[in-house]
Amino acid sequence: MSFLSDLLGGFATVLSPENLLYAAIGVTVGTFVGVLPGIGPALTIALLLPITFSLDSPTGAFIMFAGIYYGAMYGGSTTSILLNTPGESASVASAIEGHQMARRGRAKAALATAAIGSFVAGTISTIGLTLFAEPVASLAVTFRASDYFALAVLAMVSVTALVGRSLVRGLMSLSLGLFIGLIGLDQLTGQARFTWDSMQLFEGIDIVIVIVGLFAVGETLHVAARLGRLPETVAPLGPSGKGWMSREDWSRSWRPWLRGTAVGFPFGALPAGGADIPTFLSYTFEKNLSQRSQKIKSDKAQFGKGAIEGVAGPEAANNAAFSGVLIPLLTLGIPTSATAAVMLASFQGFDIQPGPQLFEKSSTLVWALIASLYIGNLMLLVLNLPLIRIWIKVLKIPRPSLYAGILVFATLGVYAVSGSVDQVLIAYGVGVLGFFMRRYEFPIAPVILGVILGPMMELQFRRALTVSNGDLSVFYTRPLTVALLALAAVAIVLPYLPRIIAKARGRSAKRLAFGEDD
Amino acid sequence: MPETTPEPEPGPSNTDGPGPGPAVESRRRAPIGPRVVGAVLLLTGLYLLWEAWKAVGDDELTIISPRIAPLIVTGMWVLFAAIYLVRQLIDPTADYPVPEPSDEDDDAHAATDTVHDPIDWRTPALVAVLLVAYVLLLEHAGFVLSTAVFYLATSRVLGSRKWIRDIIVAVVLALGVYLAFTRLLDIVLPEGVLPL
Repeated sequence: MSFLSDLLGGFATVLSPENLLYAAIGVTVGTFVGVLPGIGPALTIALLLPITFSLDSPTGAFIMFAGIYYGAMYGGSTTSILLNTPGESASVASAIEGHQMARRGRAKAALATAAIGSFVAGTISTIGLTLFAEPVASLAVTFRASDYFALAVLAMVSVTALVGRSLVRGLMSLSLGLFIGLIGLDQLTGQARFTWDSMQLFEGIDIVIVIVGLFAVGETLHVAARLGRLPETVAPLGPSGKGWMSREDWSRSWRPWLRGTAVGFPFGALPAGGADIPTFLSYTFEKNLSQRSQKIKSDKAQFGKGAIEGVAGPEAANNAAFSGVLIPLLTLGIPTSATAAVMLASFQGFDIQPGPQLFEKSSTLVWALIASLYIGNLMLLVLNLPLIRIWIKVLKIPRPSLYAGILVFATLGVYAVSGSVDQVLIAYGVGVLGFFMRRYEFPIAPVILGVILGPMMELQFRRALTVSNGDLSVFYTRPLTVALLALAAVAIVLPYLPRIIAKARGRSAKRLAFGEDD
Repeated sequence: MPETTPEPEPGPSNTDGPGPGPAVESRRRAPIGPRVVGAVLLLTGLYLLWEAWKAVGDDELTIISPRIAPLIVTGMWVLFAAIYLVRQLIDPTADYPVPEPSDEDDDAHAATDTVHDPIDWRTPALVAVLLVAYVLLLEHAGFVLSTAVFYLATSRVLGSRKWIRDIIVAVVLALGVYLAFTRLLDIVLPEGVLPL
């Protein structure tokens, strides 16, 4: 039971006044920025990087990160429900039913089931993280370079294939990300690639610049192009003082919470796909379940008209997947979502390399991070429901002021990290790219994963071949490598399955795709 | 993609909502945008592939050479750009299905905006110009001054018409961020012409 004493040690670290303050700041800032329409957790963390880099203790910084990470998600679900503008693709599913509930005057019940479901799922999956992280890490010690190569391929391919509507556009985005990742000096030989002899490009393009460019600048330009068509009306909250959830709401919510958690955590923990897939799986699952039992409760709010199950399940899945994502991130150093990619960047900013050795080398830090997840979750529950009216005020910030402010902070964030005007200009360039990507529906997440996983993949590929003296058979003789590469192949075919099945049944293909952008 | 120029799209600027008139009209013919994007992507990809090939030079091209990955990645780029372009030329609506007119939900439609909706190119272009001006001014005029001016100009371009509120927010935001970053977080920001 060594993990128990480690965890207690983590709690001892977090429960100091200073670290509790960091946690409180983290969840508050995270919720605040997460509530802002169009801003997801990835951008939130990217924008707040310069602030955390100036903290002296990495432990404090990561406790704050954990707060921001969860806070941005709680905030994001508030925005999806009340305004129907999900800030990240993992909230798209809960926006469908949640906003319908809000329009029918049941905003408070929707918000409550989202928040409490997030708390339940977050806590259960953090327990899962506590139990599984260290065993996975000790398993990962035996991984070889070829396995890491296959893991990186799997993570990249599954996100590309399963997120968004078109495989070609996804692969195009991935190529772009891989290309950006190549810019700069080669890690092994130091040869310049795609630098066009510019000193600024020698260091490569930092992931923070890519994220700020794509999410902040790209999103703002996209908004600027269709100012007249944005959803503006915040759904009313209803009378104050009245209860949040009725007895019936509770009884309809708790099973979806648990089912969502059961789907979300394992999917998040797999090095494949992050939080988008489980949220949509949960949504589809709850929808099918309710249709099957429709005869019994025909008068109740159904799917499409604000079914509470359609909020409870996906929200729980979303939150559970977020903790799950931390397993491959912490134990293997492999990010499977845009947010995890920024987290990895922030780890590296503190000279900490996530991977199998992390639990030995930085044991205190990791366990403090895990302990702070429990505490952050609790703080968020307290912070969100009673203070919901404050967050609604944030939602009502006029769009011009909001987006002008986002651009200021984007510029400031890149400038503060790099100290260079050229780097800011590169971020703007990436932003223009992001604008066209949004306009023509190229998914964003593959770019981010390409930038961060591409160099990692190449490094492991060449390492594996150096060890084997250039013998390619390392990639098809080691069972684990083969299994992972086979999974990647399955991921490419998977999106076509529903279409094939639908055709076989003589129905037209479903339009539902896993979220458009992250 | 960087050198894509804003091509004219059918439909007027942002002042018009998604009214039935222009929306129906733009649905009749496929927008030209995706084809332009495909062509630009393909040309950019070919150029990058050529760059990657040029970099190989006289080096021996072994499997662990640092010149392999650029060739693979730009090769992928060219391949997928070509597939994309061909698909757009054959049937643009296959990749971008024309949305069915929604009978109930107005804001649900707005959340999932498509290529078929008319777009305002002027505003994002203006914002981009303002951004470049902002960062070029940053080190000369200083953070506070350039931020305040940029914020004011951008919120105006984005449609804000409340001068007094915007001026107050601009000054408070610029000063507040400057003081917080330089005094509390010890991050250096350009001081510029204002005596702070």
